[in-house]
Amino acid sequence: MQVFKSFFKIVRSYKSGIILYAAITMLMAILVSSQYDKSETTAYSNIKLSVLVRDYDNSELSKKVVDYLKSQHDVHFDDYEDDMIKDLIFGEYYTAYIEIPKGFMDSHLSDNKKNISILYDSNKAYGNFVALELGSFVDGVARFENAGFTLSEAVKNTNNAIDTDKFVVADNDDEGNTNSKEYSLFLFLPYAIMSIVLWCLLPAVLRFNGKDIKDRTMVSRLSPLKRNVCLFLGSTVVSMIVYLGVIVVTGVFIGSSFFSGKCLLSALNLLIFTFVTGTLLIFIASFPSEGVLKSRDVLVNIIGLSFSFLGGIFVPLEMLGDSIKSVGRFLPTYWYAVALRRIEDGGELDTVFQCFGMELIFGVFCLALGLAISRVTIYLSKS
Amino acid sequence: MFFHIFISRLKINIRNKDAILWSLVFSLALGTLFYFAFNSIYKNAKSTTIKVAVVENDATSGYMDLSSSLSDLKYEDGSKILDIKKVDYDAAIELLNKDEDDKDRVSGIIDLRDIEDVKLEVKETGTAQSVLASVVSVYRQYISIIVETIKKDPSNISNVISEFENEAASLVESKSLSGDNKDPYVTYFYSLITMMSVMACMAGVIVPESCQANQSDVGARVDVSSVGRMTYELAGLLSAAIIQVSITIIGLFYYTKILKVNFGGDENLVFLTAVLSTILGISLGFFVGHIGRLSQKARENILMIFVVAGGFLSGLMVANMKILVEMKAPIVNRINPSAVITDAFYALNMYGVSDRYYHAVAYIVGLSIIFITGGLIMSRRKSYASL
Repeated sequence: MQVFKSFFKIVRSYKSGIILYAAITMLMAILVSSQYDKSETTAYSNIKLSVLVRDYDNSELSKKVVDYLKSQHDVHFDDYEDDMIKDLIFGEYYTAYIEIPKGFMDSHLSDNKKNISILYDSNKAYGNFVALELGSFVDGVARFENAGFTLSEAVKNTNNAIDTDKFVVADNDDEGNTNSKEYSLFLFLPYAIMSIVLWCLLPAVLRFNGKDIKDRTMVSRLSPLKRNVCLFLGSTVVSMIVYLGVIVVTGVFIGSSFFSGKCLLSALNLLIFTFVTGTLLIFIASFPSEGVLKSRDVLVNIIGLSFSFLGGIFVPLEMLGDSIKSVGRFLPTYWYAVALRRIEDGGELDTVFQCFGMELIFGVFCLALGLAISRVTIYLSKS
Repeated sequence: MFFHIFISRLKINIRNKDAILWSLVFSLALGTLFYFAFNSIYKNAKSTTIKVAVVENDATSGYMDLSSSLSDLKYEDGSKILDIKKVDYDAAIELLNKDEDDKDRVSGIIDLRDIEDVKLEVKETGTAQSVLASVVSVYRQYISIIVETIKKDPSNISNVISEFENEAASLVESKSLSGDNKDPYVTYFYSLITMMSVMACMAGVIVPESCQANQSDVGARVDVSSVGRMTYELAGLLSAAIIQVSITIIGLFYYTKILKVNFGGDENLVFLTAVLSTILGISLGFFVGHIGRLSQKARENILMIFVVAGGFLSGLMVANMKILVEMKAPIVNRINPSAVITDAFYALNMYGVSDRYYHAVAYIVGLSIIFITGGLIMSRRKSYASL
């Protein structure tokens, strides 16, 4: 009990760090989820792509071109500087930038025509697709006009000719993955939990592993096992407090839909992950304390970032290479992300049970290894 | 005296093996992880030749030479769009239904058996299928023009067909994005180098701590010695810079020479930018180390905001974050050191040695000077009535 109480006294001295870290990481999670709420139109989730359009002509034909683009893609008309447009295409925020020049309609059938320009990464299939599609429509209209049809007839006939409903036979209608705000938020939370727990609790646990304190505890009547269990319980209780704080903020952000089955199952997933993070803490803290404490900042970043990248927290699992996925399978973040994906796709408890089990196995492994290393170091120091 | 202190501080820094080791592990491990995680994503997103089955019958085979003109279609870079297999319908269905890994699998079937109603059969939606739909729609347009012309003015049909042969150039002009390396995932490496640089602040904050009497025992001893504080701190900064810059250069060398990551732009300038960024990181720590009479924990918390929150906003965790910030609050990207450093690497890649790169470098150098000067000014006339 003495160790348990002392642990909380030490943790209290780090409360400003805990609050600050929690605030920063929660803000990150909220920023990420606000961004991903729009992800149904981004390049990798759906063939409906984000396109930036500027219509300087504002003519009947240019409006038809814009209408066509709107029917095919997610069209934006925001005004940006040229460099910013390039940055946005490079960053895959937009797939292409289409500019319809002034005088396009008046000159489109003449020899001295002003062409529509389309800026995109020509290496990417998506960019090439938009260019091909745009060319197919605009040139199609011009072909009909050259064949003697009026502009409205040309547009109508072109639309008829390229209407995929009339000529594409699809066996199934795969709509692709769309991520909800709740999913994106819950996906980022393991990084927040890992950062808060490891950054703020590691010094507290390590304080007990310092030579003087450890030696004093060892000569007391407290058994090494009890000491380690007290430390584990202490870090678990604090981790749960952090979890509750994170869940309350998440609930406030999400609103009433937090009480849906999906969100509650996601919250359970996060609870298990938080417990596992507590065991990871015990494992890390079992190593010689001085070196770990000195390098806490780097160590927390290495663990937090590598677990998150390998587990598909920052980048979706389906985009990662097979070699990365095969390494990720050994990490709780991977199984957390897999479980969350299944929950998002409508899975119930029985479909994610295996993932929860894999997370817990990692936790039990860390705990067993941590306690064993700690026991061995105590034994070695005694001998 | 400066040289003597410099050598002593350098020895202290070199003996801090844990910090050096973990910093190296951070850069090498995460660099390797990023390399394997992102290496194939851009390659997979590239335009590839799409395998397609074309079904004709005796009546339509050779009509308007459709199948051979399909195989002539090319992307902007000159590579072929379609790899055509002429087969009968049953064989085409078999090819369409093959496993994803099967090299003979086709993305769709272009059915030319009824030339007035060319069909495309696919199994799923995707980029390849959408490109095929665009290609087929162009052929449907030609057929539609002929059919509609026959309906409207049959006498004009020969003119229309001759127009096809003399068709003018496209009304759409394609422009490709400039830049040495257009892989958006290279920004993760920019952010990693940036984080390594900014994390050097932890080495910078130790310098003032080691000469402030209220921070450490060594600080108390240095404070009562005859050594000038400025001399001591500059020597300490220089020694910290040598260690941290070496770590950054080792990391960058590993990425560019061993992992062969193309940062884009002049490689010497990439290294120079990384070195300047590391000095900025150290000077940031040095400056924070002088603020008021903050405790060690408070200083760590302030620096943690710069490292973690700054790294996040510059795109370390989510690559799009920097763009999102640029759209909503561009001022943050102008003042966030991590975002400015990342932007320097990005500008070098996309625009070469340009005004944008010079602005970023000027900010990095200017801010370093401000931090070091500010730190030195704050360190003067600090005295302690009691400890």
